[in-house]
Amino acid sequence: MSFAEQLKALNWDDVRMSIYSKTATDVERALSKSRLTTEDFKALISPAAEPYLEQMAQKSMRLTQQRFGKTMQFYIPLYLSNMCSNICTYCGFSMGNKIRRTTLDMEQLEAELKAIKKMGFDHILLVTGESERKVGMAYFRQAFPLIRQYFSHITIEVQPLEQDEYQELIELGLDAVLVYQETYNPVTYAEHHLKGKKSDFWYRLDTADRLGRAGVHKIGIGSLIGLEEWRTDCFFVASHLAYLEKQYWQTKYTISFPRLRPCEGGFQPKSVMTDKQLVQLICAYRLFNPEVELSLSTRESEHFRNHVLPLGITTMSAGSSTQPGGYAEQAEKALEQFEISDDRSPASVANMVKDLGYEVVWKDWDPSLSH
Amino acid sequence: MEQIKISINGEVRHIAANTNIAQLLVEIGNAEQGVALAVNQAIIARSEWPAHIINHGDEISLFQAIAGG
Amino acid sequence: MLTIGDKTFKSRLFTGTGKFPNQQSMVDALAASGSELVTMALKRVDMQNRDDDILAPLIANGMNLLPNTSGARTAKEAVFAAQLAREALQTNWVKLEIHPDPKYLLPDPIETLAAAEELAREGFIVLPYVHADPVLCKRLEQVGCAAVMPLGAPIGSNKGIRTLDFLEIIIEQANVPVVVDAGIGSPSHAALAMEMGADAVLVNTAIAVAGNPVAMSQAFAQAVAAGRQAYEAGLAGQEQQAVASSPLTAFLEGA
Repeated sequence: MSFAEQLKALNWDDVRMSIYSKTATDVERALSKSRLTTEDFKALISPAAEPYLEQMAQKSMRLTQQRFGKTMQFYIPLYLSNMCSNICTYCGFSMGNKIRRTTLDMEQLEAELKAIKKMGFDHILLVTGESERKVGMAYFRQAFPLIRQYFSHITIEVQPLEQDEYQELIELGLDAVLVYQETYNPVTYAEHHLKGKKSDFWYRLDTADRLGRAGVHKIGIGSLIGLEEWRTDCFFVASHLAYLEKQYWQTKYTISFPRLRPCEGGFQPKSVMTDKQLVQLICAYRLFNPEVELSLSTRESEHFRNHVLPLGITTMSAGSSTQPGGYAEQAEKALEQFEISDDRSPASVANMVKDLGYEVVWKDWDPSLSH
Repeated sequence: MEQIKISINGEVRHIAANTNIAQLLVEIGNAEQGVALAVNQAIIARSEWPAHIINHGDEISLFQAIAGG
Repeated sequence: MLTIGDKTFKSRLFTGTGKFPNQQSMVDALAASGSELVTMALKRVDMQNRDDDILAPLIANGMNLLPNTSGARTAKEAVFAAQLAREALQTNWVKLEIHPDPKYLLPDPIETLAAAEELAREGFIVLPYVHADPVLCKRLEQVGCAAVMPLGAPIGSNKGIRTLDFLEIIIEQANVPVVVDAGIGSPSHAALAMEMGADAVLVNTAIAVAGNPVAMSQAFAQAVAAGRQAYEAGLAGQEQQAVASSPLTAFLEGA
């Protein structure tokens, strides 16, 4: 059964009720197991698990250290373009928003790469809006060889591509692809994705499968927390992960949990997730899957990141700019996709990490000997 | 009736020429159920047994299901 | 109900026909077990000494036949054996069993994977017997096996579930049914395998050489059912509580 079929077979409200009806007994059972099911995950993200947060955090920290050691992988996002042909109600790059649109040309790109390199990074996340015509395969074919000269690890967060396109990019050095479903509720999804190719819920959902078949090393999934009731949406993230691991068993996985923040559109989230709840979610993911990478971006504040890092996080960004470029020269703020909350320099964040007793990993040798 | 020489599971045997497999099994007193047969290392499908004529010098291997985990 | 390939089974206890003191004992014990899938071997007919026909009584008891390729030492021999078995038993189900080591009868992973791929291509329903190697089991699934049969311990050893940690991984990762085969020596071993989430177990020696095979096979049937019921009911874990150090979530107070 494909994941789309699994999704269609479940009723959103039934799942939500099922989560809310989990009891303390369910939580305790989940906490005492070493192999958790998705039902156990429901218990851990339910309100019933709130009193057990400290216990979850202790176990989550232990499991993370067992699997990853006391290390923290650093990466940096580089926005190549903010051109976009989608209308998404929550995003600063939405086609209707009046912001200056720009795409880095190869000269500007190289200047950015040099600036980022100076900060010490070796893992780069390339981000674009979704503009197939202007920033599509032709652009990537040009950009990749240049980027590979500077960085050993390339992750992309761009428009969903076809399987053979991913295969081509893998040959050019692509390591990982992040593609967030935003929300796993098709009805809510339609309310927020009004125009453009992104309005096709099922095509986006199938992207992870195309990636698995293409043989990419790592796939990143997640939902944009706040578009829908977060517990239900995150249950579907966990289910999606379980499905993908079974299907594409040679692939690595990473999960992100972006919480909606203010942006140009002035968007109001449907559900607000508190800091406590985010910690609960991070620990729940870790207990559910001790091997998955968990990524925390600069959407979250300095205070929060400092304390949450040891609880289950394995990779983080620092010194981020969410506008095209932004590293080689200070550009006006109006172009940002979302507001940064932790604006410390990478060196500063690295020091914090070291003070916590963790080693900063700038370059991960693990993925492949072929690069 | 012309006789030909064949071997069945290593045992030499003389049978009439133009015998087919189904007839051979009757002759050696073997039921058809649970049995498979190869002629010169090639498996002959059960449906072919009435049609397949055995030739002089053929090495026949007869297999059957037996107890064994 | 367990579905493998094109068949559904009420009983998750699969059985083997070897090592019984006599044919009647085997037929009685297997009938008492409730088993719906039974393995048997194939060998050359001894012209001087014809074996009894074991199939008629098993078929009469409604059992599905699973011929194995025991005796094959290479993929080529196993494929040949499977084709013979298909003709002999008129079934495309086959238990792929290749053990070139006659002492411990441990399965050859390389020959098994090669044979599995070939047989799946020829339309067989392949159930490969292998070591509890999670990666090998995924590879077998990829080439089209209908299930995987990782061992609990060496054949006939009755040592139980020695490969527990790896069986857990296999069960977690598998998209096909997992049948724990070999090494199960007592009903408690079978129950443990089922509690872990195995889809079925295959038991032969432990029943065949028991003092009372009929009673033993009934005990196994109960153990398999109990283990499965426990698994479906949701077992409590056995993890120790984490040792509390300084509180990790105190920073959230007032958040």
